Amino acid sequence: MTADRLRAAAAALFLLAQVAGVVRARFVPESWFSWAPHDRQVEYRLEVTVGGRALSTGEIAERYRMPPSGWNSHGVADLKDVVRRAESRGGDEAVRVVLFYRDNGRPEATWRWPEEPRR
Amino acid sequence: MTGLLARLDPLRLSGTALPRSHLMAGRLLALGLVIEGYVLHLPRPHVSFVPALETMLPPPVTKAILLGSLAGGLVLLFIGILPRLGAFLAGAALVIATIACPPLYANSRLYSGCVLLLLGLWQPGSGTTLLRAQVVLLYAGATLSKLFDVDWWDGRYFDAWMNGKLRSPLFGAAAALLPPLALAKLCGWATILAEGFVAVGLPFRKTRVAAVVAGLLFHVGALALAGEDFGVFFYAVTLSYLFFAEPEDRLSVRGAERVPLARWLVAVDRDRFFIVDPAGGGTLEVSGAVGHRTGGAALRAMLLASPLPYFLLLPAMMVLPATLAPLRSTLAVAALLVVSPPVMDRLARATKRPPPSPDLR
Repeated sequence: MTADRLRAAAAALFLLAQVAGVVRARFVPESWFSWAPHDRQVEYRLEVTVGGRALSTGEIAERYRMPPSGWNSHGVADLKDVVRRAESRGGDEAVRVVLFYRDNGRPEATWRWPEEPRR
Repeated sequence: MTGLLARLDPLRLSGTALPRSHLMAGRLLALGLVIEGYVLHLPRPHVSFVPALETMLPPPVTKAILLGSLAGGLVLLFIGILPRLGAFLAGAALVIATIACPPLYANSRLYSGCVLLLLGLWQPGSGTTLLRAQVVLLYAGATLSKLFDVDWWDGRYFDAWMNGKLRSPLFGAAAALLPPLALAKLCGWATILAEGFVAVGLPFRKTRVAAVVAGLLFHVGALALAGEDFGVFFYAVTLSYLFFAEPEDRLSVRGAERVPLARWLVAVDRDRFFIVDPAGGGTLEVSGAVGHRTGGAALRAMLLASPLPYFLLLPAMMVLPATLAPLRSTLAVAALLVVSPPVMDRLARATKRPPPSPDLR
């Protein structure tokens, strides 16, 4: 009986966590865990320099575990989040990242890491 | 030995705690995950949402554990030995792998994991509420996201997808006949309406069938339009409708011997799910816990309850290479047409004449 209740509670909590993900996505730019499959079309390209040396496409793919260019169907905020997560873990090298992107066909825009402090 | 082999038969859906429709959905999803390569391409932890997934153990070790859990779980589920444990192991591996590697975040992997995890947590007497809630949550989230995104209303999204990414000649030609962005707007609105209707319609008995039909038409339409099945997502979502099937212990069948398709479904029935009444009349009839049906409706009930059509159709669609993608949507459309009332009615009409009475000889 206790095991059954535990199982039911675990399943209910699991679903509630997903509800929280859907609600959270209304207040943050990222779309993780919001059940918004294929909701944006972002054409992007990453350029990365480490210590002044430009990384090859293979090195960029290895660094972020995603293609250095192509289409992303989650959104540009998720792409930025991946770069931010990877680069904010520290390291001595001076890393410069430029993300060129077209969000749902809009004119090309850029985003840079390190991010400029907000004024 | 024969008993063990019978137990390993994936078409046999009885003999486990899981309801018939749940086990069928789980097995087909397991098969889909293998065919679509989710086992081979399980991601390694990297810039994880939960950093402990990278620090507790070396990432390759974590990946190996997840891989073992996924592969072992799928095998258990597929062969029907401890299927709930198998579903839990496979589902947990998929969910954790998604959390562990944001760069390779995929809704298809996450949704499959959620469904399998909940199947693993299912217990006799708990009903279908949790699994049904999972499906409704998916559609509710998808609707909410689009409702608040102006690009889905003004046609910008569909234009970028169809004309920018896919360069669809069909969409381009149709769009050229209408004012700028009109078709893209229509597609965006139709998507919001379809997903919203499925989210609202599925929970209620009165609107459930309409919601399932709307959902199937929507997903098959997207499959035809985009030419891709989004990994295992198309199959995982459409299989989820099986959680909304009313539970049936058995179906009593009359008149099956006169209808070739019904006769075949009875012949391949491993579980004796169909109880054949030899005193059948001229019309095909089925009756079970959810009521009595005749003719085409009876044949459709038999077809939808039998695992073999699913095991023939879904793997056939999954194994098609990208170059034959149009054939995939053709198969899906053909399947929808087959279960439509006109075709079912035609197929259900007695095709084998009864022997002539002695007086007429």
